[in-house]
Amino acid sequence: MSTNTILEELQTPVLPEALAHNRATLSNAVNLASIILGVVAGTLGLESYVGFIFYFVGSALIAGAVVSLPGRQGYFGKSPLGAVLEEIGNAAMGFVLAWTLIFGIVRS
Amino acid sequence: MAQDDQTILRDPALFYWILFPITIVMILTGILRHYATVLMQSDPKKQDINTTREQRNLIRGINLRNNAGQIPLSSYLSRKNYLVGAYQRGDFLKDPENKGQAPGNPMSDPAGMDQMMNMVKGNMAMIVPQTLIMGWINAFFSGFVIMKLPFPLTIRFKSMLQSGVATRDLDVRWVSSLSWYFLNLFGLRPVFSYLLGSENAADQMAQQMQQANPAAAMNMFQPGQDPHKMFLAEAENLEVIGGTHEYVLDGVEERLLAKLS
Repeated sequence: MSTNTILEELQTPVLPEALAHNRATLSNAVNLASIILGVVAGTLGLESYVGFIFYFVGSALIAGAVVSLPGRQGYFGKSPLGAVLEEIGNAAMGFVLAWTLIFGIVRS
Repeated sequence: MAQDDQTILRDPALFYWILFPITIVMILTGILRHYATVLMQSDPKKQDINTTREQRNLIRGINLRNNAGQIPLSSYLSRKNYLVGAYQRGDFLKDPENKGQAPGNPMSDPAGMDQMMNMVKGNMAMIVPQTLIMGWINAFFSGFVIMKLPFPLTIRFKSMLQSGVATRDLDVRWVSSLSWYFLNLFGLRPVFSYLLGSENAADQMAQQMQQANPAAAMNMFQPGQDPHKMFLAEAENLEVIGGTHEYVLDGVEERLLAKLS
């Protein structure tokens, strides 16, 4: 984000409710996506390293999609990449849970 | 000895009777805990008018500073002069005799007690269900391994994750139901965030981080702060803004014409 003058910042204000809505949408998207990634990894029967690599690849795709959001849609109060990486970190355990569950069911 | 691919044949009914019930119970208690916490929050106490006046006038100063760009410089200056004068004279203070002294410690001030009781209630709502569920799992689901983790772990986890089954050679990837409980404990956080919104009280990690950072969460007037000093600090901030004031409607006619042309 380039630094604006005070006047420019006044003329293009950011509502806190809009910011909160953006962050909530991002959080929902990343949480759902990581659970779905876990289900896919379990169905494919991926084992240790391959499974985690799969999660990194999947979340890199999501991060790429979020970073390329145009203009104000991609405004999260800090850099889009930082915000989405933080959400991915929070959602990692959801991936592990879904992966373990589906892996156990499918294998037997 | 082949450690690398131990397989144990398991009854498929295991899943329906153990994995799913534990998960469903944990999701339901999480939701229950969230709503119980929301309902248990006590109403804020009614404060007398002098206390309210003190707090609201400080907030007024902060609002003026934050929104200074929305009013022209002359309006800003007249408001600022009134407020700065009033702050320095101590017009809004609750008890003017205690001007230079910090108020008493948190135990004696009822507003502080309120906040601490809320925190304690939140903690109890977190600890009690966890203890109950762990006890239930240990009582009903102990003594067998239930599933194989997709990823390997080190040997040190063996005693924790295979709690009922004390064998030497069994791979760490085979775990008992208590480890499924732990997995659920951490892994259901995204699910709760999705179901309950990001302010949910079932999120253990966010609560722990909030406890480590109580200054951000508590009211700015928590006991121990001197109101007069806060007023003086706000007066200084308002003076500083006076030098860099920009009015948002400055040159608005040109901007409008540039947009339309």
